[in-house]
Amino acid sequence: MSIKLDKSSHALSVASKNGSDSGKDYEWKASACGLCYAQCSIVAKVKNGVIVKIEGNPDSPIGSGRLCPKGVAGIMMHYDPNRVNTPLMRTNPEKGLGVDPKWKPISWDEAETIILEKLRAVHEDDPRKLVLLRTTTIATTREAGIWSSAFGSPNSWDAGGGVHCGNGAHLIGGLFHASWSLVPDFHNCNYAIYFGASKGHGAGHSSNSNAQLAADARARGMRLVVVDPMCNFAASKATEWVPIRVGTDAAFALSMVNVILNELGVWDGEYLKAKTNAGYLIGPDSHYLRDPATNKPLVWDTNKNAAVPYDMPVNTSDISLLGTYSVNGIQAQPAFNLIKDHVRKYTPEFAEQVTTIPAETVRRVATEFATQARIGSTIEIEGQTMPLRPVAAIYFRGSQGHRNSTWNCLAIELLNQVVGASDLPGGALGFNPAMQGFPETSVPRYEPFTSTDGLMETGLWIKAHKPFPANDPKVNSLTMEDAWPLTVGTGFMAASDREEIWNAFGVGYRPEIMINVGANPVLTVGNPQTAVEALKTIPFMVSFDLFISEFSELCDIVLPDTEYMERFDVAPQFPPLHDHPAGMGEWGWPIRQPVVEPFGERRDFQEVLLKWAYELGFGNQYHAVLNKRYLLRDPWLLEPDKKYSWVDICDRRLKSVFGEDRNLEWFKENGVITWPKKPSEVYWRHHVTARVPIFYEGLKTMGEKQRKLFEEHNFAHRVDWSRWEPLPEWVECHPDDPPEYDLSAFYYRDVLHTNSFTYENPWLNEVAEKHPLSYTIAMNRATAERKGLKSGDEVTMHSPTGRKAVGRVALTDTIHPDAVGIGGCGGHMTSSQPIAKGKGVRFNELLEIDLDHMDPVNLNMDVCVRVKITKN
Amino acid sequence: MKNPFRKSDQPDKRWAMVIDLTRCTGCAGCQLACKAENFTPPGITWSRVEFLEVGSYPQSRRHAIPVGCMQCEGPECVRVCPTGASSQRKDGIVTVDADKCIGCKSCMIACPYGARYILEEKRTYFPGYITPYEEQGYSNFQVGTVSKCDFCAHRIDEGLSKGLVPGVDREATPACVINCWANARTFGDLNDPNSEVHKLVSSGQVVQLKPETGLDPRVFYLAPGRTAVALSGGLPNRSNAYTAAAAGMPQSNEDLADGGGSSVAREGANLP
Repeated sequence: MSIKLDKSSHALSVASKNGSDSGKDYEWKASACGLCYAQCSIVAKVKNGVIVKIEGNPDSPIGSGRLCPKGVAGIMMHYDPNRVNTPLMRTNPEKGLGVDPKWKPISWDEAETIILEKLRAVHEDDPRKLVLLRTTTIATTREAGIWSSAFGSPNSWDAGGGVHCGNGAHLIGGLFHASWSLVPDFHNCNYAIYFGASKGHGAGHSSNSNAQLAADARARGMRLVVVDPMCNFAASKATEWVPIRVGTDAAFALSMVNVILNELGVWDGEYLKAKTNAGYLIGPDSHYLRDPATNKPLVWDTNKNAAVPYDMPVNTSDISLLGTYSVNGIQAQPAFNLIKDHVRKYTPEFAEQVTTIPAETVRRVATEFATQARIGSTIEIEGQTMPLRPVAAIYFRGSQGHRNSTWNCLAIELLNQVVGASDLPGGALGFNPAMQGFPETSVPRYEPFTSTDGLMETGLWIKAHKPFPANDPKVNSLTMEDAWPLTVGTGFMAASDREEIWNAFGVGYRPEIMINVGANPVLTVGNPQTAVEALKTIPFMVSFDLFISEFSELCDIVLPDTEYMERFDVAPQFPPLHDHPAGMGEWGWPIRQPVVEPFGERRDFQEVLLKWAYELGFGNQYHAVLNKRYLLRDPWLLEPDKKYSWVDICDRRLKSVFGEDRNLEWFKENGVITWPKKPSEVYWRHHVTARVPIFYEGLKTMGEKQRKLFEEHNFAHRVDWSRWEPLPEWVECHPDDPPEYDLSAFYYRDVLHTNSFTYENPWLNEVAEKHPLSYTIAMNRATAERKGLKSGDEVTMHSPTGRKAVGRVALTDTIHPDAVGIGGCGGHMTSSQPIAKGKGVRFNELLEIDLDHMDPVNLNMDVCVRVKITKN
Repeated sequence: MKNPFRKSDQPDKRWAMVIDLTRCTGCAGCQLACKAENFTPPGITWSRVEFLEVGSYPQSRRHAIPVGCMQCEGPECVRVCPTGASSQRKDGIVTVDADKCIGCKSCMIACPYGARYILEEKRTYFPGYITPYEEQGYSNFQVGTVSKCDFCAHRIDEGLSKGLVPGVDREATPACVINCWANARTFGDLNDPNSEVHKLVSSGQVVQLKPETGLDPRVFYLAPGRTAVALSGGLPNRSNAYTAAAAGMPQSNEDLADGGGSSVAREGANLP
């Protein structure tokens, strides 16, 4: 045969370690993927210094040896001749979209001299003028935000996929599950309903692990109902696809809650009383009634027939969920009673009008969900008897990418809560909200705990500010995250109304320097021209990049970064709140390590930033922040006035968790350490007494605080304060758009691509080009034929604000007649990424970047747009 | 299908694969794992995923169907090969010897599954540049010769020589099988009654693609319910597959537009 293939064996790192492959001309090195935020564990086969294969690491529970197409294709990213391999300085002072920077290669010394001079000036003047920009794609870049906070700047901006990402899902996931997102308990769930989510079927959190868990669950008989405008990754595998009109998820979910509570009369009273604020008495002002002595929220104790502080009843079963009570002359109702009445208007018939889902389907799915919840049932897992609630309602990108982001997620979450299917066997699980630590050291150890008003506070969180208790709003950062404390990230740095907002709030400084690690907000936030107009006003911009992007082309200096197979990151899964699989199984702590030496003049941004911290004289501050964030322990704490290498810090971080012997050298050899999960970690809800706010009183409180602040700045008229009400509503995304904009365009995450990042990869591009939908505009066949369109026609999508995006339509019966679906962020404009140039559909062209196109509460960008379509 | 176990009285192993279409999510991880393992040049996709849409909205579904060489028990490609380049090993795997292949494409016409690819010109994934990775394997491909999936015979042979069991031991198992994130692929010896593939094929739930050809593939599909209905449409005749070509997308490769069975790798990276 012709193909004289490498006949080498497939031994893993462990086998090589045992010497069974001694004498081979290759080795397998364990590391971690870095092509999306999931950070799955990999092994790379290196032969004569060349990477010849990347596989999943079978020793690690992060993917268990399997790998998505992006991960496999990492070889082509590593060897792409279009990578940045030397520092570059622009010589063309003019900046703009498509303007050639006229790059001049310079040395690292030259580049750093210029950069440090600029940084030094800002550090001495006002450190807040530094904006640190980072991608959410490569999770390690989180470390960059640590650096900028030590520098003294509150302005760390998570751009790219971030603002499209999960402000709603992360906020509600954090409030209810102490986690970034949620999945069904794949081992025990019997009935999962997904709203605009693909967990276990496409790209996303823990994708390689979840795909295996979901496939096993479906094979076991878990019914999967997918509510989605498009029969896409999850819906294709579902027991039932329920096509829904774009952006109407809350109407469907609230109608389901109505059917369950008011038509079926089903709820898990025991759970609601003990684990939620369902029994808290709510006054006419939508706030808790409080005990004058302790200020604790009151509940109605049916045993004492009196209002008492929530933690007073000996048996939580004595807490009343229904009725109206007079307390010191105030008419009050338990929160649950209000919810039950609130949802009555969401009849299945109303939901049918809004969602196009037949009323009988709403009733049937609601009945199935309530029945399958098996309220009252228990299960024994490893000797522990716990409630079994084998249903889960899961929300993510699709349902939360709207102006109604917060309420959409809250409405869907109510489904889990009313039947008690929350972080208990079979139910909706957060990703690892509790961990009791590595058995030999009990580190790291965290768990949700009871906080203000008896409500749950996360034990660990990804951002500095937690969903609850939320910070008080204030004005400090340019990103305005302080003024909107319920946001996870904002798009204001690239927004058209940012000056209006900064001026209104009296933000007395402007960005002077932007340092970017890997993000490309020109393509991945919204309309590229809008982003460029905002960003090019920043006087000095530096970018650590793998490729020259449209953002890099606005920069003054570009620095060649190492990619994931060229650098150390000793905690790619930490915090494990989204990229470590949930449910029972194993804990895994893998590391990322170089499998080859960095090519050219590529340098790890972490090494470079550390060096700059020492040169700028804020090493001690950086050490202090690292000590805290990395959970460093004596004797591995970073000491003041000493200098460390990045590798040394990596070593100290591992020792602080795993002890002296399991240091960096041990991990380099072994790649990953694993230990079994305990039921008390996975199903922490059973023993944790903290409650979750099914009546989101904190939202009301936040609205009042924000309104006061906004009124002080004459900005209160710019937002709709009705959105801060504790009980979710369905709200039309675009009520004022003219009727000729007759279709809702939305974007979804493609399994073949990560935002705009991977379009340059020729293997992924080859697959995507032959995929029926990856690079096209998916359009309902009947709708298209009515418009005289056929597959392959090039069309323009026009938004009501005059934005345009171009692409070819693909006719399909797998999408709602009112919708068009576009995968990923589309390819690039720059000639520096020739494979990516012009590929796919740049949906983001259609998106306005301003406050009016965000959820006013959490600032998630509205990622659906009404469009009209013309044939080119 | 014919009796798949008819050779069980013979000592030869019979390698077979079962693809569970209820598990497959169509991610194409198999397609790229194959590429990475075998260094296939642009346009050559020994393993690939086809998509088929069935039904009218809202009773409609998109099905992903991974395809490749079916390793037919009675391979038509071998019968038509004028030089003996295509042959069948004792263990049933159909291979191509490029040194004997004259590029006549008879096998490509004969194969009803579009599994064979001819390399018409040497090209790399980045125009004018060969990556160090490609240097490791591209010399194995000869212009003007045909290639296709061989169940990763090198992995099987190497594994057996170490006493490993293909389909059980990772390093002795085809690359697409070990990579599948949904665990949709099962591989093993059909003649071994204890193997998973034997059990699955014995279950009576598997189907072959295009059984009417009588070629008796050794790649089986677990396709209950509506998935079986989808397959009855006759994949993978590419003219009815729900491909980008069928959707009218411009294609750099002519293979998908030809409506026939064969694939021609003429251009690969689709650069402007």
